[in-house]
Amino acid sequence: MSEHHKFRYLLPPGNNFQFVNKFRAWLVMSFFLMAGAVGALVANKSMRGDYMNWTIDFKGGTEIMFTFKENGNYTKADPGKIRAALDKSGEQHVEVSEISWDEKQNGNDVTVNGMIIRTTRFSALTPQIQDQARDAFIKAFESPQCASDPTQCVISRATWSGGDRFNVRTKKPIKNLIAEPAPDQAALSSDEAAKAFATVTAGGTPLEVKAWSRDEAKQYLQMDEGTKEFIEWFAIRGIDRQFELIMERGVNPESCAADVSAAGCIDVVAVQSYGVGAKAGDKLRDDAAKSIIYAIFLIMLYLAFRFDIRYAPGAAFASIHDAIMVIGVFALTWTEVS
Amino acid sequence: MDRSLKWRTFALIAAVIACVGILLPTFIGRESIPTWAPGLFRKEINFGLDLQGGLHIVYSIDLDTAVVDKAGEIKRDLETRFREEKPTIEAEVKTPLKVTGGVTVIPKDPNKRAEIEAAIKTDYTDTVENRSCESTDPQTAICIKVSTKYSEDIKKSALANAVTTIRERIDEKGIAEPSVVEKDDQIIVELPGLDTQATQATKDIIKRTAKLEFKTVDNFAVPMSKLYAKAAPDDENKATEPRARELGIYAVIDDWVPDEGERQQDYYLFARDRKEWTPLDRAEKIGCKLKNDELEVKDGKVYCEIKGFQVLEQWLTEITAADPSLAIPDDREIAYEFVEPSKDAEGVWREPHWRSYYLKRAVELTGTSIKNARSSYDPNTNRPVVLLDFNRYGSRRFGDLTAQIIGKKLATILDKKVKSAPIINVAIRGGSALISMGGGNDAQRQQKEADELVNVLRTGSLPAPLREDSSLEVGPSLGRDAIDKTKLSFGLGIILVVIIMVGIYRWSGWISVFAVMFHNLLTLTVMTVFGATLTLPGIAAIVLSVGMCVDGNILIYERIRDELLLGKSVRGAVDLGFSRAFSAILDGQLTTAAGGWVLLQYGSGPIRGFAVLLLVGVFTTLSTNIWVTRIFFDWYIAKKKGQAATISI
Repeated sequence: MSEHHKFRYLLPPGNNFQFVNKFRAWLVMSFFLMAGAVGALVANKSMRGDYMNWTIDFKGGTEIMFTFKENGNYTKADPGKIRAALDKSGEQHVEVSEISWDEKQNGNDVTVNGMIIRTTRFSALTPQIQDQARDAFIKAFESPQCASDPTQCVISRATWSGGDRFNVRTKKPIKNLIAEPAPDQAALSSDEAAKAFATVTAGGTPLEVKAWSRDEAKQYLQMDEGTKEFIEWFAIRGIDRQFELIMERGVNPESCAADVSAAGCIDVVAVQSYGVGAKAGDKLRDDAAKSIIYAIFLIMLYLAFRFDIRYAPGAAFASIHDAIMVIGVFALTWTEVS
Repeated sequence: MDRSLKWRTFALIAAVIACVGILLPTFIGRESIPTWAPGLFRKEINFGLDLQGGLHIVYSIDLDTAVVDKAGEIKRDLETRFREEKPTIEAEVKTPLKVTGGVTVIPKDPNKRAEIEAAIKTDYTDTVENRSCESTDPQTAICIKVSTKYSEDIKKSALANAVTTIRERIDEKGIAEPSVVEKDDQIIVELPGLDTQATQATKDIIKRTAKLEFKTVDNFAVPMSKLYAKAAPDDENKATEPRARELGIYAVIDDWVPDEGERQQDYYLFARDRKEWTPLDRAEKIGCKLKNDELEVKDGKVYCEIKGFQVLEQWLTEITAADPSLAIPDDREIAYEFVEPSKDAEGVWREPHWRSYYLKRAVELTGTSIKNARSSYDPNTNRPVVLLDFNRYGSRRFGDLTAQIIGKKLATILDKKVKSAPIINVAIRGGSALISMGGGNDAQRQQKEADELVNVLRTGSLPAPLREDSSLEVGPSLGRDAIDKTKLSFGLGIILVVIIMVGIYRWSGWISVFAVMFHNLLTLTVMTVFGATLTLPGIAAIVLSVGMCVDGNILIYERIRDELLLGKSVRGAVDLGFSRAFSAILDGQLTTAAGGWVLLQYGSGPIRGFAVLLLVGVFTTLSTNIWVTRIFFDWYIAKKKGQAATISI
């Protein structure tokens, strides 16, 4: 051995870890680790309701578009501040992206800078409150004869969907149940619905219904030719309102807390909120599973060709073992999977 | 110094210069590059949706179409059934236009009404429900429609189907990181910030309904002969009816003698595209305004080009309003074909024009019966064609259909336009059909059209046409501030690698630092040249391949140390170190490449972005490890003229 080579080592040479010698101990440990990983998945399912901490990519959720206004004019907000405010509020899995579009304002094209917020939450309301609100709505608008004679029923469907939207199918527009329609009183039926919803409270405040815009009213008050029914949507100020408040607190100084429309304060306005489906649908999941199987097969094939078929299962097992370990750590630490 | 080393050094310097040149536009902007530079040096890296944002397009989809299609299917089923059970049950089945998903059955024998109704009820227990009949229907008519619950289901699956189809179409175009999600009854598509032209091309392909239908042409029909009488041409090929004369419409007799059977005759309407001053709302409706956004507006009118079929539609609406007896029945329709400019049999030049076909409205066969589509050439016309292979059901149905209508014409309809309507001379049992391409005499355009059609037919048709509701720009889905953090972590990672490598391997550590830098440079260059899109998962793949590159260097260095410790000379140790480490590096890279390849095959969206960069990384890692690092060692050895006692490793 020549002595004149001076190498630096992370670990001094000559040490000998007896890995293979204690293979039984390793095997037992590996088994327990894998069992632990699977156990973590099961525990999550039973305690947290899902195996892993899926993000909106896998679960879908609500997408809300916001604009920012100062003294009634569009303005911009600092995404860093918004993100910090959301982090502080304890909202999980929130994605923030900036968005811009052109809008006509007083005859001029104005670029509006807004934000899109995506969250995995589908609703700000608990299922109990949703049920209460539904019952209140039906009580207010269903014909009294419905209970005794089903042919007299007016409401054929009333369900909640993503983004706190209440979807109704009725034989008459609900406005019609109150008075004869007047064409330019666009917001009338959303006002009437608002009265019904206001009887229900969530967290101490009554539910608030967003008034229909003229376009919405025009669309909702038209009968569907096929089903001869009216399909109407009512949006509750729910998640979007919660986010508005969080963001207003984040972008404004303390002094704005009382009135965000005051000078120097930014008013956060939710323009639209809607439920969205998962980006990674079933097909993507199937493809992922398929690709894992094929990849392992290919690697085994290569090992068999390059070395010996007997090495292949070991390598494949090692790969699977590693994958399970990663899943286990993600499950145990409840890290977001996106 | 031996010549090979000189050449290798020269090649390395040239490679670095080329890489910097190719990457320059990305960093200083394409505008700063002089226009005389070749195209390769004017390309910028495409960043994905997550890194630079893009377009956020909301499409709404008319899902009622899916319900109407279902009603059509029920009608076809019932007709087949009544035909088979003749003469016990005979009835006429209609799908009224006014009621979405409505089906009306009119029994021939009023006494059989109850029996037929019971049969329908058992066949379609959950699918249909009763509806009230129209006042024009006879007393005995059975009026049903697709049930509310079932139509909800149809709409739901149609929407899911549309989302998958759109995703596949974008994937087939090779755009990384698109995002397609459903939103209530709309679809949101996000496309990374491609240039305007590419965006438009992608939008076009998304919007193609690609609804392929086969319908039979109804010749010898009375309504058409009435229209002929109205618009028959005089000696100058101008119609007698004043309005038709004004619009340039006239009727034509079409006759043909099939191989078997009697002479057939049909009438059709002829019209050309025309330019005229059109009110704004109508211009917007027929879409001629889109051609040029800066169209001059005069008295609320624009000068726009109205397509021949729109001219015909307009005339038909007008004359049927004036004379309801000219209206065509519910179960028939008029469709239009664009006829390319060509020479007819007598060598007379025919201008491009539109002609009408009078069709039975019932759809005989649809695009869902297609197994595969491929583009090919028609040896006779030398034009690209798209060949359609039917699946088993499709080819049987097509065979039966063509057997029924021998001597008549069968129209192939793509997105509501007739593409061709050949005369059926024999029953076609081969199980394939053909669509020839339009596009004038521009071979390139025809080929592009054929390729697009193959793409949309392969990915399947959309259940209904899409309408673009809004299109706006979104910032990076990750957020600019998050991207800055990513950059920071990337930098920190590199610094850590430098500290460890230099700390342990001293001067050789610096070599591997250079190798890693060259590796990154090469990876980005390869990406730019091939026009791949850089996404966040892609950056993860780059970081991973940095790791692999360093790992390869460590394998080599440790091998060299081993050889030196065994008492080999420096030159010998370096030679052996490289050649022995090579097999281990190759094994590792090949298995990684296998994984990457599989991900590329089966993944979509972000997974593909990762896979592409991983594969590029495998290639660059191999070349830097084997080739670049080696140059530096050879340089050192050559400088010491083989006399070096040890090296800084």
